[in-house]
Amino acid sequence: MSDIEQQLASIRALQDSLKNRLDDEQATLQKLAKRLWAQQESEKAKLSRELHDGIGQLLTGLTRRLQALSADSPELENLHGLAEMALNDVRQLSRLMSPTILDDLGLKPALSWLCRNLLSSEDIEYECTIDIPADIAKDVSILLFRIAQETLVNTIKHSHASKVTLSLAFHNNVIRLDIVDNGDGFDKTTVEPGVGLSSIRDRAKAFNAQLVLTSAIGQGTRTTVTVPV
Amino acid sequence: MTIRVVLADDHVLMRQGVSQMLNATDNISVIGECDDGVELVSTVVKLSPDVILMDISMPRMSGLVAIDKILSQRCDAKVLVLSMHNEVEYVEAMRDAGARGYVLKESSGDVLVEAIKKVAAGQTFFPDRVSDSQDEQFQKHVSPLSVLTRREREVFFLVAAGNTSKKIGELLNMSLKTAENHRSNIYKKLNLSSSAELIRMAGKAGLLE
Repeated sequence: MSDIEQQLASIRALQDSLKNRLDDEQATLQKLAKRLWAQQESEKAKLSRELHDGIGQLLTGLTRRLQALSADSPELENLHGLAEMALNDVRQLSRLMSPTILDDLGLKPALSWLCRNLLSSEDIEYECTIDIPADIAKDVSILLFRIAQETLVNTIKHSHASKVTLSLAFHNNVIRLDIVDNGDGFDKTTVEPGVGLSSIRDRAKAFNAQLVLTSAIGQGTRTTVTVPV
Repeated sequence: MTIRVVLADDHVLMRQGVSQMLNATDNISVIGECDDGVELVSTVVKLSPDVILMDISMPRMSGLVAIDKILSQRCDAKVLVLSMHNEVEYVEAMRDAGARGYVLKESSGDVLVEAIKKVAAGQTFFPDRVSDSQDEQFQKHVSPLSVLTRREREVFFLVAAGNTSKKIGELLNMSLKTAENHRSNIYKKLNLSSSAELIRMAGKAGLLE
């Protein structure tokens, strides 16, 4: 082997070893990111339980007492109504914070539940088509649930949409989630992504998932996520 | 005849309360209590109860997985779900999994007893209304097959594919008589009178491959 060939070979070897180190470090970072998300979920679950079992129980007691007393006082009847609203809000908040339905029943019913809870009270028509195997890993399920949640909340807050379709499909070991609305849309070059969107982008990255937002003013918005499983 | 019940719930106070109430009722006896899904599956196999009364959210093995395991070992097991969740998704998922009934934990003791008796007698017991405002959605998503149990749905698709009761019995590892029973139950529930009608109905509903 000539000198040059030897030098080339040693440069290649060096490149390979650098690439390996980079891959290793990337894998470590990814693992760390996943662990952080898992910790965040477990914190949320804890808070959700405290909301449900603590304030929720107190409000249940209060609502019952007020109901019993309200028969002969319109004033107390009003208070009973308010207490009941507070109780329902706390329950919904607790469930959205940590969706037990995901653990109990899996991703498909959980997403139907999410759409119904968020959209039916907003007067937004929706269609939910989900065709995936039942045994999706728990962390991927949570990822997709949280992305759907963030996207739907954004739709409700900003889009003025009257219709939303959510579809989830599985093909060639890739899960694909599409959420499409017929709302105002936005110009991606002028609108800065908010904390929520940045957070789900980071989260998708930790799972090697791709998150693509397509939108233009007056054209609605499409969010597409593909996750290899 | 006494209805023998196995009860599974990880909340001890809840379980004891229900168990005491049921044992004080004529013709119902709680013969086993379990903390989680794993224990439930083995208890059911050991005791062969008439009715299995179970929660959904349980440690070690969730209710949904437990139902599946129970039905794969005893396809005629009568499962009645006792749950705090009044959402339509829960009720549908449990019915799809093969449960015969669903009772909310906030229900009165009388309702629970009625449900146990109905399920023991081979009927089903599901709430007609699930959280008022969601009624409409509930109607919208109901598939024509939702009145069938999981096993009956398996038989439904095999009939739709043109199989005879004998063949279905072989495929699903059940006796000819059981297969024929399932078949006649399906006809009754869906208001059909022949396999030709069943196939036509399946085609209309987009259920044929």
